[in-house]
Amino acid sequence: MAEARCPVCNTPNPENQENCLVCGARLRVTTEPLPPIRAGQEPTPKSTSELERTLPGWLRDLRSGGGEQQPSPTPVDPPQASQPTQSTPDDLLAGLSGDLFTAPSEEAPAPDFLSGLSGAAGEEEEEAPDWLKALQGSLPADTAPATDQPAQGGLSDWFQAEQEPETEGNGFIESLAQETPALHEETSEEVADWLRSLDTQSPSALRSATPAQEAGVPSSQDGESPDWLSELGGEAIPSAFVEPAAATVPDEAPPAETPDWLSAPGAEAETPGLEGFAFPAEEAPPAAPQTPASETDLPDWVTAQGEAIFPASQEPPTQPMPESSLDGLDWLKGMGVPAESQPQDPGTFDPNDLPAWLSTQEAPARATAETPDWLSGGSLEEASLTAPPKALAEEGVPPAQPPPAQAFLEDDSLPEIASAAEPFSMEMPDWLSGITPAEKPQPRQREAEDQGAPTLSPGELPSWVQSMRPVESILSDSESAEEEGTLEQKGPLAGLRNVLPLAATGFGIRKPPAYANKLSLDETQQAGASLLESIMAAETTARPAKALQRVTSARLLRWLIALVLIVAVAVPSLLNTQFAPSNTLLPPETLAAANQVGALQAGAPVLVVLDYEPGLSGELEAAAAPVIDHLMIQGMRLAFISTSPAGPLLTERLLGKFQGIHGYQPNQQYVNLGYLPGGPAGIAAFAAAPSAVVRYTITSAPAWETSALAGVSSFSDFAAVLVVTDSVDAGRAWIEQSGPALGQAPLLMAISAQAEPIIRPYYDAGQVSGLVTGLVGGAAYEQVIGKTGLGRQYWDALSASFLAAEVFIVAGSVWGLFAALRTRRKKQENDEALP
Amino acid sequence: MTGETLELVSGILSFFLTLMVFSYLIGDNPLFRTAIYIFIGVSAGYAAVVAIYQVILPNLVMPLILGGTAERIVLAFPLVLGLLLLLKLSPGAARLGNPASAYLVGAGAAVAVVGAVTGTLIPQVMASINQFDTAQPNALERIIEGSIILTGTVSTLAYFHFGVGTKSSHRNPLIGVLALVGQVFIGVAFGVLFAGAYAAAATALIERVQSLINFLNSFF
Repeated sequence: MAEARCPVCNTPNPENQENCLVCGARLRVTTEPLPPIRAGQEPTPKSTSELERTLPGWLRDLRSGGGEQQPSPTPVDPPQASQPTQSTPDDLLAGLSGDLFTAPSEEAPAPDFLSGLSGAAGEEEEEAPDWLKALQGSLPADTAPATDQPAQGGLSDWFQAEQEPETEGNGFIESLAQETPALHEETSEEVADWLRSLDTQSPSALRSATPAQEAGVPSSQDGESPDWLSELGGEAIPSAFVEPAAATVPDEAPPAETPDWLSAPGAEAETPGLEGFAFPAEEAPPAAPQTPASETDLPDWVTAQGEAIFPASQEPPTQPMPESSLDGLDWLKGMGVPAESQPQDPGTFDPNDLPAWLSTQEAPARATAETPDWLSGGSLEEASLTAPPKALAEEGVPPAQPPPAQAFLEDDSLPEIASAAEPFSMEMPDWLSGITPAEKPQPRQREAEDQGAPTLSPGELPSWVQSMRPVESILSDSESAEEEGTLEQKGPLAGLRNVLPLAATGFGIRKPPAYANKLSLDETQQAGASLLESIMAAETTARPAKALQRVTSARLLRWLIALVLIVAVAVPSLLNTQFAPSNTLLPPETLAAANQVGALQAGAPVLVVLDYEPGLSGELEAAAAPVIDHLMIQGMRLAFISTSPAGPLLTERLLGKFQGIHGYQPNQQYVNLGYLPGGPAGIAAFAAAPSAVVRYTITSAPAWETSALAGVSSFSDFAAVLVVTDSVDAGRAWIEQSGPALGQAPLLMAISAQAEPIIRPYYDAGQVSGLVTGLVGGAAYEQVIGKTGLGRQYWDALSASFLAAEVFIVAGSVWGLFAALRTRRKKQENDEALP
Repeated sequence: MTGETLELVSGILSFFLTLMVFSYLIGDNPLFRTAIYIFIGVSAGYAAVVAIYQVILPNLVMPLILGGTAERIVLAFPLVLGLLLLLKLSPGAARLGNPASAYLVGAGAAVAVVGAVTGTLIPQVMASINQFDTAQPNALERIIEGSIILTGTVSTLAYFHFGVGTKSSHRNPLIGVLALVGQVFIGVAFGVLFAGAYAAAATALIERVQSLINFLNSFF
């Protein structure tokens, strides 16, 4: 199967694919020659005024020059032999392929190649095109304006090339002008034979071929003629020229003599010169089918010109054109066109089949020296190339059979025609290529148009630009190019080979395989998927906001406990009662502490460590206050230190309660060494070398030079160490780190009740000499020393709180017991209820 | 500001701050949070001031300024380590503070381990053994006390023994019995701890209520 490889991704695609299936690139070059204009295609009015900028310079010069040489539209003089009847050559051509021609009418749209110009001057619809104005200007005796017509009409250079060997003016028209006696003498040797034959005819004979005039039919529809035609309308036109053969061809002409390619509807024209002016069905006189086309069926402008050349006052020829009149048309005979062709059937010709561009070729046509210029022009070639398809195919003409016109063009004797055909096919002016039927816009082009990007579609590129690209010439050898490497066909690299080798060979983009979207799951997988889906749905489902928290029994119970405790504590404190008896059984550790303090030498230095937080200051102060009071009673020099940052402040607060009692002065009887950083390491360092770790007091005085620390150089020089702490870790750190360095000095501790379970083993082990625990221990110590302090003050409140706590514990235990019994009973009932 | 005014202001502040803390009985509220934030802020600020004026200046800055060469050289090490420790504040340079942190952790761990062994483990073991010293006075009492301590220690350790035998998935019945006994000891220990915590909290409550009463009594 033939494949079309994508020029971008090198992916093979079906041959009939226009765009690549993978990358969507266009598989065919967008700059390929546009399809030929088919018969019957409606001209597309298109504004090509903007494209005039893309015209080649030579063409623009010609256009501008033509404009400059355009004579003033002065009234046309009567019959001018040199008046170019621009439609005549095409009319003759229509005889070869009559279906390609149609009779121009007033309603017919402008020629497509002029449609753009009409867009540029749309407001002047009634005005004739420039080339027609030039034609008007050339109507006087001066024949020179005929040379301007190609440029004015926007025709290409090949028309001009055909024009060069001639003298000024339309040669074909000049040849027609030889029909008149005045111009007969001017007949040159270059005139074709058939034109010479026309010379033999008198104007009257030619006029006899216009039965319409004979029948008194108005020569033209003045009301429908343009102005310039109206001006020409007064001029006579030799009707014999317009319809020379139609009137002379008999009806019984053998159709067998007609070639197949001419047997098409359009080819049934009677004469080669008049088929172009086919008769529309609605305009043809029904009563005279054999009658040649009347002037009413002629194009208005032809009619007008015909009248200019052959005045209507002249009598039309009443006799048919003798066959001898075609003696000069040898070339027609060679083409197999019977001189006595059948009269044209008006009904068989469809005017719509005539391409618009062909109608526009009528104006600039001219004859060359040896051959009529209309034959050497593009009209014939266009007719031969574009006319056959539809009509001939309907007639069963084999396509391989070359039409006579083409054979005629292939004749070596006509090199000019062949040379003229080349530019027509290859060097078609861009303004002609631009007005070809618009291609269906490609998707990318459509996108660009949608986006409003001022892009120029590939089809609108000037032909001369396209011809400069190497793609055209190389594309023909695409297969060999594939063998040698990828040929870039787009972009700035167009025409280059092997520029991007990766895209060509090794890493070709493949169409991704198509996978089925339908999953095949078994029941287990579906169950798992549904479970996962339900979980995900539950996670994403918004949960309703909780309602305002109601007052529950737990909250009420908490409030009740708080109220009871506050009342139990506040009432004794507020009433300052002492209803609770003091503890008669003193704790031994407390007694040991009191004994150790009492055994100290008076005035000895004692280190007091206050490591507790302010939150528990009430308990620790109640526990430590009687010990410190006892030490002060003993006259000990006190050195306070703390491993807590808040310790120095708490020290000052605690000492403030006794300064008024014992008269201790800072740096005299006591010294506040402040904060000892480092935790256990700091304690160990302080125990190893206290003077090296702590140098200054909290008042920035040299600590070891104060009276309170006189004689103290090491840790063992302290007579005793009292650690007041609420933290187990702090108490244990002091025991562990300072115990070995303390020597024989007692280590006393006043601790919180919550630290007693951990610290007490150290007392039992002998590492701690005395222990005062909490408020109970403080109260006991007060009893030992015979003082009344915070211990006794808080004792009733503490006893009340203990009582409340006991009540709550008992009540809670009873409630828990009943709850357990009730739960068990319900469980038993449920078990019995179950079968 | 006189002493009485200072006492009045401090008394008012302490009174309202105490009430604000007590407001936690009705749940978490802005008053409670305000009191907590004030306490934390004051504590942090005070700790910073204490550290600067009682640690850095007298122990590092002043010796570097006023000390001798040898003292300065010695203090250069804590100075450098302290500066490196400050680099921990910067994520990019935090690694430079690792040596100082390593030194602190290492030194602290070493001190703690040595202190625990020499100050707690060995003395406590020796004390437990000495409970059975019949040469000590009150030997019977000490033996009984030592037996209780031994039983409690062994049973508590057995309670935290979760290993099983190779032939059965259940632990040894003897371990199970000891674990049950250990559970009792653990319960008693927790009860004692709770009682101590309750006693400490009750004392703190008493002190606060007493302060409120004293503040209110000061106006009458």
